[in-house]
Amino acid sequence: MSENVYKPFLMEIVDIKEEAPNTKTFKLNFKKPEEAKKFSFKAGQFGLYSAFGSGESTFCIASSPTRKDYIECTFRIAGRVTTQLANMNIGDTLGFRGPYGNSFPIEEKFYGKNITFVAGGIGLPPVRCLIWNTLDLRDKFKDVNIVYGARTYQDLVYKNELNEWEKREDVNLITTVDPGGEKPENGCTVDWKGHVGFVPTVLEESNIKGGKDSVAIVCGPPIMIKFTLAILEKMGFSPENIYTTLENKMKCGIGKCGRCNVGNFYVCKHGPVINLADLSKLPQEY
Amino acid sequence: MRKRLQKQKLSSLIKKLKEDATVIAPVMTDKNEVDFLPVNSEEVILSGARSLYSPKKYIFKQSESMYDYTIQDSGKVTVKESCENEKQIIMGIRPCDLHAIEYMKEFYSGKYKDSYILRRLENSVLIGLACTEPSTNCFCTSLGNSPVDTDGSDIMMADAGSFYFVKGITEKGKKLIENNKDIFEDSQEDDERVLSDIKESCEKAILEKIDVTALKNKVGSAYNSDIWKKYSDICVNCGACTFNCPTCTCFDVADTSRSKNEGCHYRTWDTCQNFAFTLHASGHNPRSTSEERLRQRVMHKYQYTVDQMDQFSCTGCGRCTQVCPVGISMIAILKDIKEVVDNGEE
Repeated sequence: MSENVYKPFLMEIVDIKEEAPNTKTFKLNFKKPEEAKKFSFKAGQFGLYSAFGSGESTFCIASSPTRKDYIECTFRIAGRVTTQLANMNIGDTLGFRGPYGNSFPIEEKFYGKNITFVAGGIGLPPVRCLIWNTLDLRDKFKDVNIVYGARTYQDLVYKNELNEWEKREDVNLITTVDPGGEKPENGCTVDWKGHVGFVPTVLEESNIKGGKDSVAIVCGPPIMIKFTLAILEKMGFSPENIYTTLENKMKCGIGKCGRCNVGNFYVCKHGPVINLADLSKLPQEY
Repeated sequence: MRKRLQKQKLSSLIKKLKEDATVIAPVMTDKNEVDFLPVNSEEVILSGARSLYSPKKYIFKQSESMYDYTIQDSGKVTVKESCENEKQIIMGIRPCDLHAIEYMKEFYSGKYKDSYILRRLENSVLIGLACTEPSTNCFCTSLGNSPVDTDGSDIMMADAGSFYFVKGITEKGKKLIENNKDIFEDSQEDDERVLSDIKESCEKAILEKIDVTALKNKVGSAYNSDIWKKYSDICVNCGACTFNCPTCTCFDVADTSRSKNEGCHYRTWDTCQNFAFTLHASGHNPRSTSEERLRQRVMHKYQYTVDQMDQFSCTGCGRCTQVCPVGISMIAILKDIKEVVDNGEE
């Protein structure tokens, strides 16, 4: 009989970063070196993380496949499993199953193109994997733009990396916070130098150009995605060149538990990565 | 391999089979319902219409532990898989339920193999029984199936009056017959005719007929139609249709702790008719209305598995209609879909 697809790898938490209120990043190492050796994944894939006693939750793998030997995940506390996870410390053990799902077609569709990342709030982690993957292979791409916004300065995740990308000559980073998010009374602890406004508006007002040599990757809350997709099309990005990563509730990650489907498209199996041309053919069950 | 089993020999066969396996067969429960249960010998019911409950639960358990975990005080975690290896022989399975098991076998295979279900199937001998009598809600012929189909069985039986006509289908089935050859008798030349006789009389007695096979690849065109509301308005979202469906494969997965240090990771049947089935942690719900959930169930059975596996995931057993507390009939839904499809093609 084949191996048990529901049995998780045991992972040790080797680092924890507080990203934003109720949002943490775990760096995880495989407990068994032989499992680490066999493991590989591609940008865009996800996993199921278990807090023993509470259950499993689905998050993307937020680290880049170009950085081997460990994985990272970023999550916001939203329920029982994430609450238990958030209470864990360095050295604790959690379970991980994966990698599951498809991935971004980097070599086939992104090489040689201008890449624009558009992310909102907790939508940066699924894209961050691809951002580092792109930056680690920087000479394969033309311009790299990153547009990232959150409700407030506090809610921006990966602040250290935003600083790093800001400093790079070969990256055009545009950050924004919703109106009021730059104010000290809303928790802003710095003299905010970025934009103030919603992501789709800031994107539209930017110098970023669409066209057939340009690919956009969008991730964020549904309302942000909705407005951003319309703006990207207006900017000249073709629906085939606009990618997003879908999320639906999942229990198995492998196409069996039956709840993540959008019509005949199973987010866990056929997704999560999908381009706008394909997405527009599906019913609105996401 | 063709044999006869005299009816008075049935109990000695079951006794013999029980020596190294659990024998499961339709019996009358104390609630006056026919269900598949582990049997001794005499109480087995191999006549009448199909049981109210399908034998699905012996392949895809209603609830099962997938692994146990222990967390030592030092923080060391160990995970131990649950692994059943008990042999079982399921007897009296009607062709509709055999089709359902075949479907489950394919569904739980593929790139990611569900070892719990596939191991249970490997450890099972499935003995089918030609269906002599449809229930009021049966519509297997509408799906292109027949009451004497042998697909999915290891052995097929058919009631031939004083004896059962027995046919070994797979190697596993033939071996079982071989191991009990003193209980069986040789068959006569025209014994097999019982199958065509049963087919003819049973099919004639089926009340509900609509050619669902003609709707293959067309059901999706009814997605945006207004037929769903008619049914969702009366649907109470109880999920009885899904729990009684022999091809419903969806499940929930959760952990339960027995103490601070140990517990188990288990799965349990779940239903797409429940609001929480697709509810995101954020509060967003892609199928938040009863209408969307009812449509999902129908689309899944008659379109999505056609897209994915080139087959309907409905066997026409009619249990969903039989158990629905508000009388929603799958045949009525299919007739409405047919009308939408036909109108669209005009």
